[in-house]
Amino acid sequence: MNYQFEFSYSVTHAEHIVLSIARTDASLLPECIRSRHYDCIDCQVMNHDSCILARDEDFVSYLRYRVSEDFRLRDLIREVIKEHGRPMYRDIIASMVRARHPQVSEQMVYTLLSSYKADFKKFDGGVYGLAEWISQGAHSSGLSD
Amino acid sequence: MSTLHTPRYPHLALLDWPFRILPVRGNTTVWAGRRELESQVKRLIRQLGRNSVSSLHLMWADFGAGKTHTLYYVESLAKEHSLFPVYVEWPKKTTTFVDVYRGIANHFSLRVLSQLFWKCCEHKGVDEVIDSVSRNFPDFGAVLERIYENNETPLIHEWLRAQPGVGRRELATIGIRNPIKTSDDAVRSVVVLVNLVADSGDYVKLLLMLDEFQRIDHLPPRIRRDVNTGIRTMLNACPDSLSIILSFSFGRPDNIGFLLTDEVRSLADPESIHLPQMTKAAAMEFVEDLLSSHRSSESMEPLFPFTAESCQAILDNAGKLTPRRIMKRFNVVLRRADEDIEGGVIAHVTPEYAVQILREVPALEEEEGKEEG
Repeated sequence: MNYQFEFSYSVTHAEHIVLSIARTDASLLPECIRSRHYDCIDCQVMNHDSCILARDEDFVSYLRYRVSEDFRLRDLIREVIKEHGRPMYRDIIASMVRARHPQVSEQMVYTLLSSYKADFKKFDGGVYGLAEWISQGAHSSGLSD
Repeated sequence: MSTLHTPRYPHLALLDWPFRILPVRGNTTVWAGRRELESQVKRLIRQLGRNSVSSLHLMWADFGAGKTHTLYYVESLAKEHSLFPVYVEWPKKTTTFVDVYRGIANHFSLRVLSQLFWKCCEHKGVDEVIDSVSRNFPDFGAVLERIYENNETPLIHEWLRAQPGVGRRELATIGIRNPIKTSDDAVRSVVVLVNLVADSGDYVKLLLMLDEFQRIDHLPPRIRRDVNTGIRTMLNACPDSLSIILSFSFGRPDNIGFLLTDEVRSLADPESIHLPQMTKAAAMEFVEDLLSSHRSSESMEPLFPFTAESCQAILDNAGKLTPRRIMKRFNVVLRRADEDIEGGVIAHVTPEYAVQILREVPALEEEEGKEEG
């Protein structure tokens, strides 16, 4: 399979693409981001010759760190919502997260809530809950409430 | 419970059905298990009835832990302690404090309002009652004048309940200039109602119970601030004669802090009421109390038609021990046992019988998953 992604432009662009893939479907991340042990030969990015990731190992390490931090924050948001047990307005979620990790910005929480569509579901206006609550049917204290 | 009534279920030695999933509004006097919580609630109500100082109390409950039943119980107790209870379920859609106010005003029918007014007049005189209300809220003063003139048109109640669609021209016919539209109007109206309750001489204070307050977690910050301001302003405007209980139901009690502004939080009584999950022992006591409060014969085994072992088996199936989950399971088993015991198929509920029935109703777990996230 060929990736439809290309890492040939700027580092900022590459970082943006990597985070977008991580938030949409982590299984599509290039192997160099998923694992410390990788081999570019098998990699099927669109332009292998111009791939920034292949040229800069430090940058790849940094991206690996960014992705793992992103996942860690996503898990923290999940935990906060799950403990609360019902969907809530996004600024409350951000306050709860920031009460535990003050260095996380409100905007970052908002971005992750809207990006990790497999984990979080926008119920109504700015109200977010866990996506699994939708598959379980209407949440009694959420939408049906 | 008295043995004078005819038991509805003589074969179960029960006067009435003991397991109800939905709390019953009205004379909720049955309290099962959780003795410490019962004494805390009783102590709170006693204390509220002993002085007129206004206060704010917070109640947190785990999902299905009996919050609404507890508030209904408080409502029943309140009447014995000279408190005027007003139970309001938080509206599902809230845009301003006026939506909450409507729930409060619904408790004041024309008859109740008129009774309170005349009681106040007995103590303070008509002129003083009307003048003091008119000074702060002229339109409410006009309402009291109409009641004094025995002109108790339903329009008064529509105005009081802030019903949309009541026009100024219509209101002008009874001397009212403006409908209740803003949060400020709503707070001013609550203040008048609180004073009427307190000045009636029959009550020490109005006890406002706002149930399902956690629903404000669905509201944008602007509306949450408006609601918080409404509560704060009500208490500021009524340093006496008003106690408010805000009840919340979600996973963590400390999340209450995220829904209230600092101003409101600082007013809350430090001793909040918590309804967590039960321990196994507390759950057994809860079931035994429920059965004994519906028992038709004192001599019967306390857990009949269950046994200690079958109760354990049912509680094991419940997982998280909350009154709702417990009652759902006991309800399912007893419903089947009711017919089987009457028909002579079984003498009592054995653990195997209970487990078999619960296994046949897998939907229980699914439903609870949805309810509790």
